[in-house]
Amino acid sequence: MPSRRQFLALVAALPAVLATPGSALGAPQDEAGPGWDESDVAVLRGFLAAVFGPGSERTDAIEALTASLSWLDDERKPLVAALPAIFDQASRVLVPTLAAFHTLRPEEQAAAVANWSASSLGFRRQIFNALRTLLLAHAYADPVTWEAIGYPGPWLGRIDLPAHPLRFGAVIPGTP
Amino acid sequence: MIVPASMLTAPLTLTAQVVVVGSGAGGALAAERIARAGKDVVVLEAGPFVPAARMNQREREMMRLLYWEGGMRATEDGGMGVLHGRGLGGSTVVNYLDCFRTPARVLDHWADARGLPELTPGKMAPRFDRIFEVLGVQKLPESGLNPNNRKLMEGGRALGWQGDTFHRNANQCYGSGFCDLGCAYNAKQSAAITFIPLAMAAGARVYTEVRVDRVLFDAGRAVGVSGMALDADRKPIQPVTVHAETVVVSCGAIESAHLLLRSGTPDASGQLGRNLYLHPSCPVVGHFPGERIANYEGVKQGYYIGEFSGPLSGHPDDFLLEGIGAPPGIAATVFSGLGAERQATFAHLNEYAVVGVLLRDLDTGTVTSGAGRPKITYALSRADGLRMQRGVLAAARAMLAAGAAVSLTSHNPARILRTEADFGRVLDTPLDPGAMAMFSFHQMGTCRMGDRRDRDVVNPEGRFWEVPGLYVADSSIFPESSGVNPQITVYGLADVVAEGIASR
Ligand SMILES: Cc1cc2nc3c(=O)[nH]c(=O)nc-3n(C[C@H](O)[C@H](O)[C@H](O)COP(=O)(O)OP(=O)(O)OC[C@H]3O[C@@H](n4cnc5c(N)ncnc54)[C@H](O)[C@@H]3O)c2cc1C
Repeated sequence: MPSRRQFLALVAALPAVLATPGSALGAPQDEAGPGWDESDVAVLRGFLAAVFGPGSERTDAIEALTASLSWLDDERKPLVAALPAIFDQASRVLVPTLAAFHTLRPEEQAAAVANWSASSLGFRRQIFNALRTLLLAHAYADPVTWEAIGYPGPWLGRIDLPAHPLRFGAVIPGTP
Repeated sequence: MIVPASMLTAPLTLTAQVVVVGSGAGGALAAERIARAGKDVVVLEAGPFVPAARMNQREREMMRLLYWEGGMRATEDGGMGVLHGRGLGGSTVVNYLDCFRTPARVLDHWADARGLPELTPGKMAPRFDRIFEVLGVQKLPESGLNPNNRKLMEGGRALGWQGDTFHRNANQCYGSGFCDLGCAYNAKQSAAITFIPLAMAAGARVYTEVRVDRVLFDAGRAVGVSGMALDADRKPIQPVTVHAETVVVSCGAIESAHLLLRSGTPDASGQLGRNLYLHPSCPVVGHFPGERIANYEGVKQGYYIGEFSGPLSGHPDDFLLEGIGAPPGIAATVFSGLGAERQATFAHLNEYAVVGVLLRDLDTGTVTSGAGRPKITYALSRADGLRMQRGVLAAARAMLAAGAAVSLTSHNPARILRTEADFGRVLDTPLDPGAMAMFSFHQMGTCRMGDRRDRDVVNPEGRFWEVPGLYVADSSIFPESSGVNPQITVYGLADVVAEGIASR
């Protein structure tokens, strides 16, 4: 958890934090994570449950998001890593619960997320969008979510088709 | 030979006549053209060479392998996702294969307003002919349209709007629909399997996994580049230096500006990094209950409506409507809503047709160089935003005319449009960043070309006005946004620049 001072610094750095709506995701499994503590992970879980809905606990979205942060530019990484803490603390002030998001009950968390989602304040919408996009993109890249939406997944392994020979292939086959 | 620099165990220093940085549309063609003229060319590419056999059609692995920042790059305010390919072949490896020759209206304007007589339609035509031949471009027959694009065609026709199937650089496309995750079948004729092998056959040496960090200068002229070899996790492992009398920067409009700015390149115009065009693109959905559309399958982009395009039709609203599909991770980010209600909406994924509104932006943003990363500052201006709103409504109109029960916008919450009487819901929406999902697939213009050193970053030959030996050959030299999907324009402009270098 950041101190109040760190928190204010992070809010000041919001524009950079928000530059991560993320259209999708990579996940090198051998990278060190962003250093999220238990309350950060609880924030992400609560947020994901509220946004994704029933069954969110079956996806590995949070683990995959943790891993894929390593693909961000070095400067942006810590700022994105701070998103859960910012959301947690800002909820205390901005949502009339007076408690950090991660301490709320699931119904209260859902209400808090709905409150963020409906906000007309630009910076709240941006924080909400950033978290929502990152988590949903990771959730739906996880095969466990595909059946419910009727997505059959990759053709490879399902439909057997050969790759075509290269039209200018004389050089490429000799590559290491 | 392609040398993956991730294998280096010691610093690498090379000498060449020409070093080309970046291997996308611009860099690959430049390397081929210059090598064919007998020059000794080295190509340096930050990303890896990913052959078809490694394309596994899964979002997680492929986004991380083939895109800058794993596909998570965005404008500073988070308002727009910025997708930029990374790897041998650059964005041509992940693009949707649409091929537009730069429209005559655009070329004539660039030639006149920017003092670029080489860019007239007549002079560009033979270049485009050759590019089409190398890329194997063919027009998609209507029978090749997937249900998603067919809906757009039907809607457009019902409204009397002009449109057509795309020309595509595809060789025996199976229609798997994983274009944006790389083609596992070598059907997409990307730069990696066309101009790059041709460049290599002409003697070019290609090094992948080398991130160039600096252009080197001596006595005011460019004399080479330096950077780092990267391991498979993109960590720097060994220094790489190439000494060359000519440097061609072809990193795409974001990364070229970033590299040149961080190198402290002299620029009297003061425009380096400015004039960034992003072609903002906004998805609009049509719901066809009970029909299997599966927008992620088949030829993802097959049909466009040019009725409202400035370059194609002279229309002042200046946007294109293009059929578009997405794998589920990306698609999920477009649909608003929360919890069970959101799930219920998204459960109908297979019944949704999606149209992309591709706006020709008239106002611009900037790229600046932050600590180690490019900062993209861009906000849709009010004028551009209003045209985007009209684009969203046109897309919804096409979906409803094709028989959609409802059309959904990508606003949060989605505007649900059943008839034109509902269209006010879109017009009433503020245009702030994040108000609706938006993406940029096309970045252009940060080193614009023109005949005035006080206004343009590079001269009509693509050379930095102030720096002998330093050229730019990619989407960053566009004088303005092209208004149509830009890959062929990039190849064409790179050909102009490369021809000059080759002849010297
Ligand atoms: C998902 C997607 C779909 C698209 N669909 C279409 C389409 O259907 N039709 C169309 O016309 N256009 C499309 N485009 C756009 C088109 O592909 C690009 O406009 C075009 O490839 C740009 O060419 P370029 O040479 O400027 O840059 P790129 O092709 O992006 O190549 C730049 C290369 O430089 C490398 N590089 C960057 N920085 C460095 C560095 N410091 N050191 C070494 N290497 C570096 C990058 O890794 C990259 O490989 C699409 C783009 C995307 C992302």
